Amino acid sequence: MKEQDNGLLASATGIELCHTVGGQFCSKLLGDLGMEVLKIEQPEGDALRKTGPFPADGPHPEKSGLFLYLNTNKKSVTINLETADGRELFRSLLAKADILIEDQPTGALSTLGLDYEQLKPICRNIVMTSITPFGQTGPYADYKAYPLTGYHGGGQGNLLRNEHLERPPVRAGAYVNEYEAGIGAAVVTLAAHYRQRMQGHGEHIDFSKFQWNASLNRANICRFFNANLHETRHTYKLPWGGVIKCKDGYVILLANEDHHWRALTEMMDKPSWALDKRFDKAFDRAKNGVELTGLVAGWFGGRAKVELHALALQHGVPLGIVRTPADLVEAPQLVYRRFFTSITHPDAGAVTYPTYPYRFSETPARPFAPAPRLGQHTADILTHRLSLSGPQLAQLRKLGVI
Amino acid sequence: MNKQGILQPPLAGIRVIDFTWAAAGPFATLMMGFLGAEVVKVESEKRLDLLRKLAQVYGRAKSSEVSVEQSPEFNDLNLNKLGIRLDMQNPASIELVKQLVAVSDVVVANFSAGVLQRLKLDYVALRTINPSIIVASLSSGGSGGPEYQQLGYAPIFSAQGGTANLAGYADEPPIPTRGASDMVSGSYLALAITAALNHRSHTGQGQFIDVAAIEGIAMLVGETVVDFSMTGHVAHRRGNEDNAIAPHNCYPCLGDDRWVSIVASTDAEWEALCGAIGRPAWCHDPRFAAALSRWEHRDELDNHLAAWTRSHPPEEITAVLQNVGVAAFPVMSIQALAHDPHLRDRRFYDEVNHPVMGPCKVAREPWVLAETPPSPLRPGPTLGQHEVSILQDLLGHSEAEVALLRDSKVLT
Repeated sequence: MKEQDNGLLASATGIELCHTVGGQFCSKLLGDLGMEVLKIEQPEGDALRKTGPFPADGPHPEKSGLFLYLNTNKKSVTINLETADGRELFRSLLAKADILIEDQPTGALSTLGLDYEQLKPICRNIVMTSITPFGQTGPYADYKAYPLTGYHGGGQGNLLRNEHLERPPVRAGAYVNEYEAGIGAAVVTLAAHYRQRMQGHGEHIDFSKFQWNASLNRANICRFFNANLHETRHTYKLPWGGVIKCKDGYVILLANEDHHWRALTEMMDKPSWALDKRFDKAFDRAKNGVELTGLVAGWFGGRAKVELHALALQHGVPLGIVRTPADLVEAPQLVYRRFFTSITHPDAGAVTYPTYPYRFSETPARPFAPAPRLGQHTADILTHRLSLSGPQLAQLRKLGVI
Repeated sequence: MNKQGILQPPLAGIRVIDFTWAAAGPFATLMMGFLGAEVVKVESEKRLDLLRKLAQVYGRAKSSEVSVEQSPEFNDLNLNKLGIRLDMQNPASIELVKQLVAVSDVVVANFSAGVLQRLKLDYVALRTINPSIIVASLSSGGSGGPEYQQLGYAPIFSAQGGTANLAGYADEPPIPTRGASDMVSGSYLALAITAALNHRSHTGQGQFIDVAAIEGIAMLVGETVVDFSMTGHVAHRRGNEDNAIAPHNCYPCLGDDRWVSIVASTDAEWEALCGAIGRPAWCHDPRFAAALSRWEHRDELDNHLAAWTRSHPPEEITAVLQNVGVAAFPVMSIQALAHDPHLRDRRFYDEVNHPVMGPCKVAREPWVLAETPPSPLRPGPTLGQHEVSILQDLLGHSEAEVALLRDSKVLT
């Protein structure tokens, strides 16, 4: 337990041993909510430090945009788990912590003597969250995955209707499914932590990204089972509207209900065609959908996306801007809610980050700490948590343990 | 532990009053229910959960006679919950909600902005009844702000949050993402509530939580915001391509619209792939020998690989490549997920006996707890199914009082 009381989870300490986006996002969410997160890195550093995006001056282990985003509010401790002394240090740190978040390949921690059964006697009541591509058990347990194979494995790609269906199914962003899994793992971890606090029981959470991502499509799956509906990218077609090109980008329009349609005609200042019988009721609009979409697109085409969005808000039309990253940082609502924050990192400088999608009335948002430099907190944590002396640290360093 | 020495689920003892409807909010309370919380779903015949009417909305109902108790989606997203009907326009309902709040831990809603205040059920009002109550609200953009009145559905929020822009091919329009983004919003809602429960466990303090769905989506493209801030580069959709890795795509397979996704990042993975599919010569081809040149020649490489994948089903390719340590996996359809042997082996699917629909297949919690045995599932509640026991056993009303509430159409 640490002394500082700042943030919802400030009284808890978590250890992170993660190399994937999903695992690191899970512990980031907890760290951003105030949990002390000790990120255990191997001496060569986290693999994501080598993954872009990088600033214009090229790759640098302290300047990966992905790493910087995923590691706000964490402390970096380098420990070489290939050494027996390193594993002993890891166990000692864990014995003083509440939570372990790890995403090592199945079986890897058993080999190191660090799996749940082996840790349980030393780390009383530990909550251990193991985030793997497919889970600890089952026919695919040892299968390998990358974010792309995970995305399409979870079923989301086959529900995205791209224009030319003879082309392969596509994804929505590089790490979407990884982030999604990280959120789910954080929910279960905090539930187990709650019982740990209240009743003193530990838990081992076997979190399968595949299973989690599949569960996000549970409504589609249950329609398949019980309503004899098989939805794919081929079956999904909006009767009209949807993504529409405008002057400087795209908007999306889903004006399904009659009152939405009436609001849209008001918004367009009642053009004569909009009052035509062919578009009178939902059924008529669906029947003449191609023509209607063309006419609406004609009206939208000469107008800017922010103009269309402002009009839609004013008239109560369900319409959104297809926002680019440049649009996001200027979006009025996000700016108003201070969703983005600028953090200055000693190497990467001042960079803008998303914070979090919730506000707590009694626990105001606190300033974010930038991602740690490699091993930035090693000496501090080992000195203050494990009471190691200066000469002991020097010796461990010499032996390549830290 | 209960009396039999069985460890109770993590959130056992937590009671949630659930005003949410449609998909996002109910997914949050579904998870909390899976984790052991008791969820009391408040509904009204005057304001039916959208999911009860999906058969009509989708036009798959053969007639308008499909009852509101015959929605498999409603059942699936409301497993384990208790149901009570309350007409929220009736002041007597507000009184009953306050009685429920007094014996509960969490109130969750996804009303439009201002509705909780109008009903006098906002956090400030509720904490006078229960000082440690946690009130959580989910909306598209959060309560307050210039766009708080944003209307829409999951695809609009995904557009506004930035994922749609990154979905699709560079030379095609963006693609609105679908229901999964609702589930993402619900996940953040559940996360914020469990964080607040932990905070309450050592401070006794309640909380008003304001969750914004669009912000939750924007978190999923966070690295592109950081990139834009660092370099001014505006990320654009680019199919399945990666910045540095090839092969990194979906490839056509034997069968109707069947595909397999394959990624080989390291030289070792690439060599293993070439060996497994009987093309060892590719490893020595100067175009494909090193990671950088594989990436530079990725279109040619994709064509070569597709020529091989085309004559095999995705499951076979997956087995062959995973066997040599290469990440390959079928592009899963909903049907494939429903029949998947791995998910079945992990007991992801189950069946409940619904009082109106009969046996229904459902998905269980998507995680496995080593210490806590899975609990049997209850079907989603029929309208008002548990209101008598809630009013009598939990709130201590008499049978006569409950009859009066029914006669005066409070329970409606």
